[in-house]
This record gives sequence, C-alpha cells and structure tokens, in this order.
Amino acid sequence: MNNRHCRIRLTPDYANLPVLESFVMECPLLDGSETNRAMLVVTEYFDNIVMHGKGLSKKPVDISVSKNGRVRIALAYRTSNFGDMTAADASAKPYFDSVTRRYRGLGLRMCQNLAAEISYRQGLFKSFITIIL
Amino acid sequence: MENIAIVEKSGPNYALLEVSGTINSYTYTEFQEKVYALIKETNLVLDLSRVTNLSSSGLGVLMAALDDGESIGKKLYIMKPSEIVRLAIESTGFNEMFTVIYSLTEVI
Repeated sequence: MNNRHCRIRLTPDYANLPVLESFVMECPLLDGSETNRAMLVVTEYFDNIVMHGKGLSKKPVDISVSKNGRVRIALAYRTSNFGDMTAADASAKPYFDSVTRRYRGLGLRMCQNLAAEISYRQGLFKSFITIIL
Repeated sequence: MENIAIVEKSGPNYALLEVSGTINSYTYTEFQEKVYALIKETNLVLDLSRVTNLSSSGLGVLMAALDDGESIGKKLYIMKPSEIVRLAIESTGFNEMFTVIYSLTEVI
C-alpha cells in the first residue's frame, strides 16, 4: 500500500476472502461509504473468479484500489472463460438453485447497482475487470 | 478479520440469531443451516448489526428463507442491519421484500 494505490495478490481460493476483506478494510484511500461499496463489489468479483474461472490452477489474482477523485478497483487474472463472465454480467437474473438451496445470480446485479461503471477487457495474457465507484 | 459467529436465542414467538462477522461463500454454510432449520419452526429474527460483509451467497440464503417462511406463515425479520448489510440488500433492488426492525418489540 502507498498513498495512491493499495494492491494485493491472492490465489483464487475462498479461504482468501477474509484476507481480501481485511485488505479493503485497511485501505487508507477509502472513506466509510467507499469502504462498504468497495468491500461488496471486490469480494463479489473475487468470489465469481474463484467459482467460475477456468484454467486458473493457482495463478494469482491481482487486485488494486486507487483513487483519483473516484475510486477505481481493478482485478487482473488468467482464465480461459472470460467471455462467460462478461456474458453473465449482461444477462444476470436471480434464480433459485436447488443444489445450493439459495438464490443465485444476485452478485453481478449488486455490483452493477453499486458501481458507476464496470468494464471488462481481455488482454493478451490476462483478463481485466475494472470497477469505478 | 473474524469469520462468522452466530449466537442463538429464543423469545416467546421467535428465534433470534445474533450474527457477527462476515457472511460470504467461505462462511455462509453454517448460517444457512441455522436459518433454514429455524424458519421452519418459528418466526426468525436476524440481528445483523455486527455483520461486516454480506455477499450474494448470504443474500441468496435470506431470500430463500423468506420464501420458506412465507409458505408456512412464519416471518423473517432483519434487525438493526449494519450499514454494509443495508447497502447490500438495497443493491439487489429487493429491499422491499425484507422486514427491517430495530427492536424485538416489533416482532408480531
């Protein structure tokens, strides 16, 4: 962390969610309201990457938070199915999943409503999700 | 950061779960089991004043519990939601489905 960026590199594992939460809580760039929105959005995308990312094995997810007026959160990672994520974002609708016995499809809807802007970019080696709060 | 802690209490016509910590994909299973078991038996009050994160996994459990309770005449109450819980619920656009209370005296 420095006074312009907070960064963390995590392996894509649910066990790292508490680490990510601590990272957001301790990021000095964010005020209270921004911390809450950043917490919900960044943990939701990390969760999605863990759940849906393919070909990840233990390749890390790089997460950065910066602020220049508005808060910018970026996630960069390697996956072979980035198109599925962007397609899901366009068609996110809640549904009841009888296997997990809970409603799903809420996460991207939450992120869309919490963020001012979300963009996806497939790079040569990595996929990038950028969220502006 | 702590994970999740759930304390179960009971009242005359309700069960109360005091939840603290984070409800996410890593922790929601215990929360889900307790919520689903209790809503089948009685009205359920969830004190979420000390919840530090509520992911879509946790929200999905709350919505399913609402359905379960409604089908058998039991009510689910969200009591004293923390700021992040309130924000999470509002961000789904389904906040009108939830009954939010600030005191156990509001349980019908």
